[in-house]
Amino acid sequence: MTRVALIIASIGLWAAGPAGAAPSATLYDRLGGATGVAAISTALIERVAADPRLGRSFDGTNRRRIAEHLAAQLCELSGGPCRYDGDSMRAVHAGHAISEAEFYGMVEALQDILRARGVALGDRNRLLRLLAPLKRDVVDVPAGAG
Amino acid sequence: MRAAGALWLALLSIAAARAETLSIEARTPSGAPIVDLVAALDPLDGPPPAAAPGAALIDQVHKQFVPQVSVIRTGTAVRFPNSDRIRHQVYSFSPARVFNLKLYAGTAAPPVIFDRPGLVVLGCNIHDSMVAFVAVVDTPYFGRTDAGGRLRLEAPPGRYRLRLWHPGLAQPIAPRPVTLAGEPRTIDVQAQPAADPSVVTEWTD
Repeated sequence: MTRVALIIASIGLWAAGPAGAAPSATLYDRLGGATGVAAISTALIERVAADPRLGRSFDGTNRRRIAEHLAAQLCELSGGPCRYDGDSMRAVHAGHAISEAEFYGMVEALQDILRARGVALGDRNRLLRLLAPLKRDVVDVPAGAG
Repeated sequence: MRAAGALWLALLSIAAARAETLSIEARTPSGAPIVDLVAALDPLDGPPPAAAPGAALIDQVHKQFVPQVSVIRTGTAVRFPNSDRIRHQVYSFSPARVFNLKLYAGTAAPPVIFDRPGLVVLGCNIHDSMVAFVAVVDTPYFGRTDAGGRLRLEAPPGRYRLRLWHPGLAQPIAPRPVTLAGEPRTIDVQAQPAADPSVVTEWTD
């Protein structure tokens, strides 16, 4: 029984090793999987909330919850096994009067965090490309939109 | 005999119509008024009079609940109109009324009916800083103190249990019996504010 378990475990190791390094791994995997995406999200929300140019929308908010919702979206967008089931980005940002400068300020903060975590340039750009269409659901969304 | 009966009935109806006044003045030991102290008179001589379900309103203004303390009768429908331009998500985990209500700017959400007595603590899933309290009581005789720490209750003559509560007290105030009979009553309440604002005063059902 123990021997069977050992054999299965070593097959598992053998299979996981080469697959992890293969180019077929998803962007999600290369961002560090669940742990990596959670860390990126938490760092990003904390950074923008503390930034005097960007923080006003986060006053009084439950930042842990926002980071969790952001992580679910980054996970889904980057090919991970998550489904974001929160409100639409349009409804989330409606009435906040987010400016382009604020939007790009957050993108810049994300770039910094990805760079600091050693995410390759190609992957940084892949992630930003996936996020770019969200701009219209974030910037200047009228109150009550959704 | 008939005349005596009629007189008795007339007296009874006068007594029922007559309202006694109970004034409450709530202060801290240093003399500062206690605002939003909830008071409720529970009748001890019989069941509280039936009433049509009431309506109340708790607004969302600049990421705060307004009012932060409400006292309502069991069965009251409370609307959350959301006067902010952004969305909120009101929730309660309190056993008396568990709910989760998404509020979008410009879209009316259905009212929440508080059909069981008890204390309900409200929060907003999105904004940690938002908190409100709804004291749900099964009596029509209730109120909360104004900016001067004062409150006037009116109720028919009789025996009552007076409950007093405020979210931020160092010690809960024990309920006390009160008899309303023919003369205005004033009760001075002294209570110490809690040192830790995150602890909610215990509620007595």
